[in-house]
Amino acid sequence: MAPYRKRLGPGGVQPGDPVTREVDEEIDAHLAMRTEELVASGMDGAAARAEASRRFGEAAARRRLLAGARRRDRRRHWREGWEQLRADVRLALRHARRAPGFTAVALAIFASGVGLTTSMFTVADHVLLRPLPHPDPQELVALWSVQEEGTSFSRVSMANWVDWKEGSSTLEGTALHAVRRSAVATGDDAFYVTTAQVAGPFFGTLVIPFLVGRGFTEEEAQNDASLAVVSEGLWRRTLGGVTPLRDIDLVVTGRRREVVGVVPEAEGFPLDVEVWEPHPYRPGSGGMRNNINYEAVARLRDGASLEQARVELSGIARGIRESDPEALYSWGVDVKPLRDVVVGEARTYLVLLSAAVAFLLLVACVNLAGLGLARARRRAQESAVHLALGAGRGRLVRRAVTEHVVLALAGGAAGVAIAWLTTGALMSRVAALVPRAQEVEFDLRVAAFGAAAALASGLLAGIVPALTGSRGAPAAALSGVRGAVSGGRGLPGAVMVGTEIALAVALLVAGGLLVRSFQAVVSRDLGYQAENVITADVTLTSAPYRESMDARVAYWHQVLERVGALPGIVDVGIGNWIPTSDGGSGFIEVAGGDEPNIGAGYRVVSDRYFDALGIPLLSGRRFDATDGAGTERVAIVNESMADRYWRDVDPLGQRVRATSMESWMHGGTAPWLTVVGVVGDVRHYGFEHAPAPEMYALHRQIPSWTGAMTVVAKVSTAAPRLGDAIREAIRDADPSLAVELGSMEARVARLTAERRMVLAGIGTFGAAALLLVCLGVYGLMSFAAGQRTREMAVRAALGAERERLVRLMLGGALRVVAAGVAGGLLAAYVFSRLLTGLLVEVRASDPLTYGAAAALLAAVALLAALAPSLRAARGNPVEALRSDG
Amino acid sequence: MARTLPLLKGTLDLLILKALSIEPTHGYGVASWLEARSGGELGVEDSALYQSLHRMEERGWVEAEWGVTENGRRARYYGLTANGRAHLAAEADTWERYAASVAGILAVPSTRAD
Repeated sequence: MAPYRKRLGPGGVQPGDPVTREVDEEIDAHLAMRTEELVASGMDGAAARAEASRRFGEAAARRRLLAGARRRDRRRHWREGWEQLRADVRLALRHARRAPGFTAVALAIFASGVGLTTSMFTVADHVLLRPLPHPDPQELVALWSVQEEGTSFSRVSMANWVDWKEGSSTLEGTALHAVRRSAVATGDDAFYVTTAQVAGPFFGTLVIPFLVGRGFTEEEAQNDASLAVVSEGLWRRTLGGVTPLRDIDLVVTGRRREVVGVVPEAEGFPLDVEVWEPHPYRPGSGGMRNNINYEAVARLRDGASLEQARVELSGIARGIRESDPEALYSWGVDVKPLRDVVVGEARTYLVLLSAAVAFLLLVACVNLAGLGLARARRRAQESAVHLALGAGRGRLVRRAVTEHVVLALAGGAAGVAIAWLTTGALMSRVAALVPRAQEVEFDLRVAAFGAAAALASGLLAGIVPALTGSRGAPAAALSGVRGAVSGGRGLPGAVMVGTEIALAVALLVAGGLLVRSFQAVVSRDLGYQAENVITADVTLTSAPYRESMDARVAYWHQVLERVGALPGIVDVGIGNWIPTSDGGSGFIEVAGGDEPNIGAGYRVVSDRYFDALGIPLLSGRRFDATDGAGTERVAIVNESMADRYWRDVDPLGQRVRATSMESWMHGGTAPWLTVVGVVGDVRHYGFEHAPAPEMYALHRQIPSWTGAMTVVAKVSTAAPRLGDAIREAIRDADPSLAVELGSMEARVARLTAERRMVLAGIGTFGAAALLLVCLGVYGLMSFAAGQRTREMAVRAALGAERERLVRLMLGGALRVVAAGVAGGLLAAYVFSRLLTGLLVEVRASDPLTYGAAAALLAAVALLAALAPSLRAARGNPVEALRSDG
Repeated sequence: MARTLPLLKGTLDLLILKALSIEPTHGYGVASWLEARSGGELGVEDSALYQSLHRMEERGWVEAEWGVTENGRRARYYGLTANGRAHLAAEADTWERYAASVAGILAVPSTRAD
């Protein structure tokens, strides 16, 4: 045996990986030695080699050896890696304990960043990815009417829909629904709920399950059966959860209906509907085709695509147009995924908020990276020792990154936990923005997202400090000279802070643009006064009102008298479609004009309606006691209408009539009305829509067909008690009718609820970003000040004044801030292109916003830099010079 | 080789450990020592030997490092660890008891002479 050996590693420059090389070398050595021995005992070379090889074993055996070696090698690597990771984590925890300040800050930043991001993800995931509870939601579509190229409406007319239904082969099923608030009564209770009238195989098309019972059959619907389906919420809470269902007492809009089915919570469509009623459908023609009163949903046949359906239905629409020249909305049919329609505008807002929160997370990571940098430099000595002892640079980088990742995961876990706890509260606040908010759950996917976000943040925040910290010059560090191991003049730190500032500027600019846009919109004049106006919805559901117009007029007269008599009431009126309500468009005709069907608003109101809402009278007079059932029928028009149709003549005395259903019911032909007054325009649908031409009729002369009116009462002070008094006064007139109270201010607020919420969110993120920038700049400047203490001390000793020193330090900060702000403005300019669609009356390059954001950030940053600069300048020169070395 | 006795399972490890207990050596050294000691009776396939060596290395019974032979050739040298030594002692003891009991039973005279 060979006693001599030397310590060596596997050398040689053979090709192949180290494991293969080792095994091959070992085997080759063995074979060589045996060959030698065989030759020594007399065999010739070639035969010896062959014999040696044979004795070793066949090729397969060799391969097995190799495979085994590789497996062992891999296992060893894993074990080592695992050991290293555990060691790193232990070290990270130790460092964390030793620097509680930094740890706390880092944990807080990670927690808030990851927590906020996770919350956003929960909402976005729910709204954007899973908005429909029905099976195969990708097959569900909504059908929109196209009036002319580019103008489509979310509503369809029944007549058109019937033709599409019958002529289509790409749709497996289609149904109509019309949603509104209706007066409902059960036992002695009367109240309002959201109801839907549905026509066609509604429940079957959407595949809505039933907790109890069933939906309507098509036959029942066609026969206008007195049936109803209710939501689980209504059934349990209000109807007592009674079974069998036929025992339930339910009256909807004055008509008794038998309940045949209960839909489980959150599985109905549309979501907030509580009662579904069947509605017959029948074909129509002429003007009927233009009553787009319904919304249509459909399910595509297996294998049919959206585009195919669109082409097919548009073809049918064209056919309609050709045969029915009066048809306005038959230019085509738009087929949209139902999911997109349901999500609607929420998508834009969610994308905005998600982007903002992502920015914030980025700022947080950069901030932490900066802090980490400072720490890495302070620990330069430790790193240098490790390097000198042979630890590879990769190893050091891994260790430093691990430290940040540990902090990130810990902080992130806290953040996710907070998000989990607050999701419920958050959801109730954003319920207006998020469909099906009550269902948003915090599940494993969200937790996984949170973990991923934390991991990414940790890596992002850790990579730069890790790379810089491991670069140190060992000799200098070991000799303990402070400030010598800074790897340059603190450039990476400055870059971090500069980046942070840039990101924050971009975020502020975006937020600022949105705020200004919002302000521009809500500062528009709505045309009426919403303050101190109480509203009360009443629907005349019982038989006497339906049969007799006189009964209606008498009722409203009583209500107006009673309410008007209450103390504190300034004015009271009634209207059938008050501003912010959804409806009241019809067709009118102007005497002497060329078009028979003009789209315009049509309202039925009482005498003091305009006064109650603060709508100004521009010329002529309002309705008054001289106008009654027997006198000349009169109308009031708004300014838009007067401008459009009677530009060169006085509108007073002109004649108009409403050709839509409202007037038809009163004797068949719509009566002509004489214009007696012109009032100011009203933005009926909200801030964003321009006022449209509108005409008003007097309820005493032409009562509203639906019997649903809203009482608007202007009160002298914002006295909440008055609401109850008003309700009581109305109920006294007829206790069987449901009254729903509200206020104009609340209705107007609802118009902007979404935008306000988004702005609140972005505002919060912006403020958080500002705070982080503050911390970041402060931290960097503190560190820089620490580095330059000696320099400052020397200068002071040489006679420089303190003021000059402070300016010197600030000068450095100023450069960084300026660079950051400039970069941020540029980035904002580029990204603001994306916002153009959302901005109203504000340019994406609005200088005021950019300037304000830049100024704010610069001020905050310089302020944060001030304190450390002052401290550096104040330092005692002698001490500073002595403390080193 | 037909005339060599096949090894029983587990015995190879024992033999290798024994070989290494004499002196640390490379794989070929173990092979030739075993061949010499068994007088050629025991047939050990070399690749099996190396598999056993590698396996025992992973188990921690032997340790290995590269070295240079007398002839200047690089080879991988194996040696026993403390664990390996303990394992060898235990297994050798077991084997001897086993062999003794088998031999004892076989020594009982049969009724028929052959």
